[in-house]
Amino acid sequence: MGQKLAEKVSEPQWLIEKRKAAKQAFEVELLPDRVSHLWKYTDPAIFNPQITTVESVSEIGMWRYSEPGVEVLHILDGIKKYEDLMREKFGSLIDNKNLKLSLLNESTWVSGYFVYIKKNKQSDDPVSLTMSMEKLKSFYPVRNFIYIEDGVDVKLVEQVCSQDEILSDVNIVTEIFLGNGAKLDFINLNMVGNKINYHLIQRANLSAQAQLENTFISLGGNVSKIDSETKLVGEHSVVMVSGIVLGNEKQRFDHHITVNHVASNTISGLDFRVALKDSANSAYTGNLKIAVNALGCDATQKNRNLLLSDNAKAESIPELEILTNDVKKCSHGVTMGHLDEEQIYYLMSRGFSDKEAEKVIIEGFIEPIILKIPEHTLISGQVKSRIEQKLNKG
Amino acid sequence: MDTKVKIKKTDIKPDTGKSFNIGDFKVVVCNVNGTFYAIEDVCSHDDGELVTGEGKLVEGCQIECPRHGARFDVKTGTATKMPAIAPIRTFKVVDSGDELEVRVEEDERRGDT
Amino acid sequence: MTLDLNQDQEYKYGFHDTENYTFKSGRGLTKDVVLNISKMKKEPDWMTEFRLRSLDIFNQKPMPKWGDTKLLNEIDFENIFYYVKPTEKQGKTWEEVPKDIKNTFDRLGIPEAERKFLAGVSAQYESEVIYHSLREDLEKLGVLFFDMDTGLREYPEIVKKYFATIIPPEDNKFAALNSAVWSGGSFIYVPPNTQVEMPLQAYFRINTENMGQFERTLIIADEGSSVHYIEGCTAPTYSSDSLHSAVVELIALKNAKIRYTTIQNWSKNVFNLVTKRAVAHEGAVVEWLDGNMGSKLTMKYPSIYLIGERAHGEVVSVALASGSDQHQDAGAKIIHAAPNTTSVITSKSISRNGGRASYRGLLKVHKGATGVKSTVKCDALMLDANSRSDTYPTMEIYENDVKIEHEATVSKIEDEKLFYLMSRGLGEDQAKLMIVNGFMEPFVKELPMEYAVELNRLIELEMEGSVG
Repeated sequence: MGQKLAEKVSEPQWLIEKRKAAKQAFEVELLPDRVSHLWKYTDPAIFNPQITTVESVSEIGMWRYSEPGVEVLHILDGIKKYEDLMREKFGSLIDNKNLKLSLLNESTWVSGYFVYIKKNKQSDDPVSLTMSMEKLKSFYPVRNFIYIEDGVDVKLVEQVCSQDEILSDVNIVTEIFLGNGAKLDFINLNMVGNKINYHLIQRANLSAQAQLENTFISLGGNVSKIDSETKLVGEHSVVMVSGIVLGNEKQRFDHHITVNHVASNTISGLDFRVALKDSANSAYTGNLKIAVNALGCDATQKNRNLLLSDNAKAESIPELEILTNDVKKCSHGVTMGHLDEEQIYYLMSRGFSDKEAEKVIIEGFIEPIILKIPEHTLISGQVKSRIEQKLNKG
Repeated sequence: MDTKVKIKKTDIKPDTGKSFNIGDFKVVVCNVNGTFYAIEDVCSHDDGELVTGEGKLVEGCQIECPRHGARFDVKTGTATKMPAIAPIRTFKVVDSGDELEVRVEEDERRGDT
Repeated sequence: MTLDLNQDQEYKYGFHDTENYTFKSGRGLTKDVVLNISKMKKEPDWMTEFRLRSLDIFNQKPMPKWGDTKLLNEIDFENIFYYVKPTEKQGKTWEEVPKDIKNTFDRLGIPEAERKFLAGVSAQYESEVIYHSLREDLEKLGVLFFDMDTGLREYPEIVKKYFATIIPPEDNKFAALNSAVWSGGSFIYVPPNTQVEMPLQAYFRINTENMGQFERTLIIADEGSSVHYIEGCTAPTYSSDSLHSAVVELIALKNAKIRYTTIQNWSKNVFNLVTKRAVAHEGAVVEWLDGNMGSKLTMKYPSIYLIGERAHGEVVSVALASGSDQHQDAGAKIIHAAPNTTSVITSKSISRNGGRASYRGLLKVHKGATGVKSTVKCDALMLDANSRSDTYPTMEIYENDVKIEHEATVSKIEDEKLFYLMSRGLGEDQAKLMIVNGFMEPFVKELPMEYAVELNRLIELEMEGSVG
């Protein structure tokens, strides 16, 4: 298993300086205001942990894996081994948008992964990384760095999990760099127990012709929040964001997904599906930006919300900020509703009970996204059984 | 399971409402001429707090939201002034001499069917 | 329609009368200004107290932190005249209206013949209604249609019952301002089961340099009644900024119907910050038709609170942002607080020459509002690369037995469409105008004839000149 605490004494000097500066800045930085949509629907104080015991995640899967063209290391080892790269790029994608929490991460992270895929590597097998939290009343700051060079084609599955009774907080910051023509199929799996407060800041930069499939499967947590931004910096780059939220009991999900078309002829798609039972809540705040010089872009977004119980609540605020008229296509759509009675009736007339019918329809709703997880793997089994558990309860 | 909290009557000045955290809820306990009522500390107009710590009641038994002037009757939770229109939750208050017991009942807790 | 490319590019309505007023308040907003306004209008004590309380609220509230804060913070509250009264007496017939003012209306192009078709005209001129005429039919029906001052004076019980119940002064800073210094506006009461066939109208203008316009409108449609109210305004061009901060409250009681149409065409020095809100009771229908063509900055989100079962709310909003000195920040807010209520929001915006058009909307469904159906469609047309379009829609749905759909698109004039029209003999400008007219059609087709014509003329004027 190997729980390695970061050997702070052996961190390079520039990193130590960075941390110090971040810590000082963090102490004076106020919690973000609740006027802008980023924090309107969730209280940021939830993620400013009262817990002060910092812990490392347990690493399961392809940690410290290496094959020609693929290197996976503990983040600190990555920093030391690729010092020049990291000095230049580490933290370069982190902006001031969510400053308090990114500073918290910057000053306290002790675990995380470093993934470096070298030029033109084509990989059939997904790189699978699981981070597990095992200690109660702990704070898990995690820092991840994914660097993918030109022409690569690779799949990465990241899973964060814990047992149900673990009451802790996790704060993850992930930076993703995609080189020219690189393709990354990235799955973010939130499988933590229902007592964890989960916060993810994800920033991705796509070079020319790069393609990112960014899938979020949010199943766990007490309060889970994602702040993801993808910048289409190179011409003809493409990002497809897919997401599922399946909430039950008193879970609260808050997803803030930004797609920023900086370069011309870029394409983006977003398919975000939310299903809520019991008293679960979801807030989806999307921001689609097309810069004044980003001509000929094609951007479509769809957020579908299925409210399965009287106390389920959903909020959807998909914003558009378009600074050029030269758009190929730009649209978004939101639907909110409950199960289609006709569909249920049809299934019941074929022998399903009403509960079974409901389950089948919900499974159908989330299936297209779940199919992105590599089949017949341990992870896909775990995800399916968690979904089953959530659908059966209550 | 019910969540019960005991509050000293003297903690709440006459004609004011004071906010407490009870179970999953933020509750404002109000002193209307010696009779006590409890409502959820949420304005149904913008879902923000009605009081920060403590606030004065208006027109005897109403509480006014500081942001846009919405008002609620603390006895019933009904919205009495725009821009609020939906009612807010009320909770049982049991008066026992010097103390109050504010009860958040099982069926009021979110998530229980 | 033919385009006259030689037409004067200057703002068609850019003229103003020499100032001829009987009273003008000093600049700036003080307690004395407010007291004077109330005293001059001989208002009951409760209204004076209301105004003073509102002034306090205005002073306490900070400026909004959202929206076009850069432009908003340009407003210089101290440099505005808050009250001007052009004549002492209120005219009863058109003949009694002072000549200067009649000239203004003449130059706006309201033909003599049209006046016969109007049920009654309240003309707001410099914060005061100076002309008012109620046709016999309306009087017989018991319909009350007055300026707000007269309404307060002659029907205080009705006014007191409803005034500020929909928009309290605490609602926002500009509602507080209006509540303190309001003057003029319309008061309409339609008795039960009375249908007012003719649209009721009013005109507004700003004249004196640094004049503020703070009209207050209150419309009550009693059970089973229906009424259509239209406001359209033009204003001359000035170098200093003008502030227009109106408050409009609509109450549609059980099974009543109110349609409220606005075409705003303020000149580009005007800040147009308006709070408009309606409450629809059981089975009632409220429709806002909101056309925003002018001003430097408009912030206006007509809203409808559906508080009775089966009430229906509809907003059709169009905005034209033309030039980098124009920001139309418009939208709609609909709140469903009762079962089986329905709503439709249609927003069409056009931005050109660096203009910025924003849609800001809220669709909220409270718990218990089962069977709600709502459709929101926002389309934005950007005519050139310099312009900007934003869409900020918010959906807060706290009830699961609902059917909500929202769709937004941002696009430019499609080359194929343009080519097709040009291949049929239209010049490029004509073709673009036709496409823009087609885009605005959902709004224009709902307008009475004379407004549709005027609006088409305005669109034509705006579209003239080169389009990038």
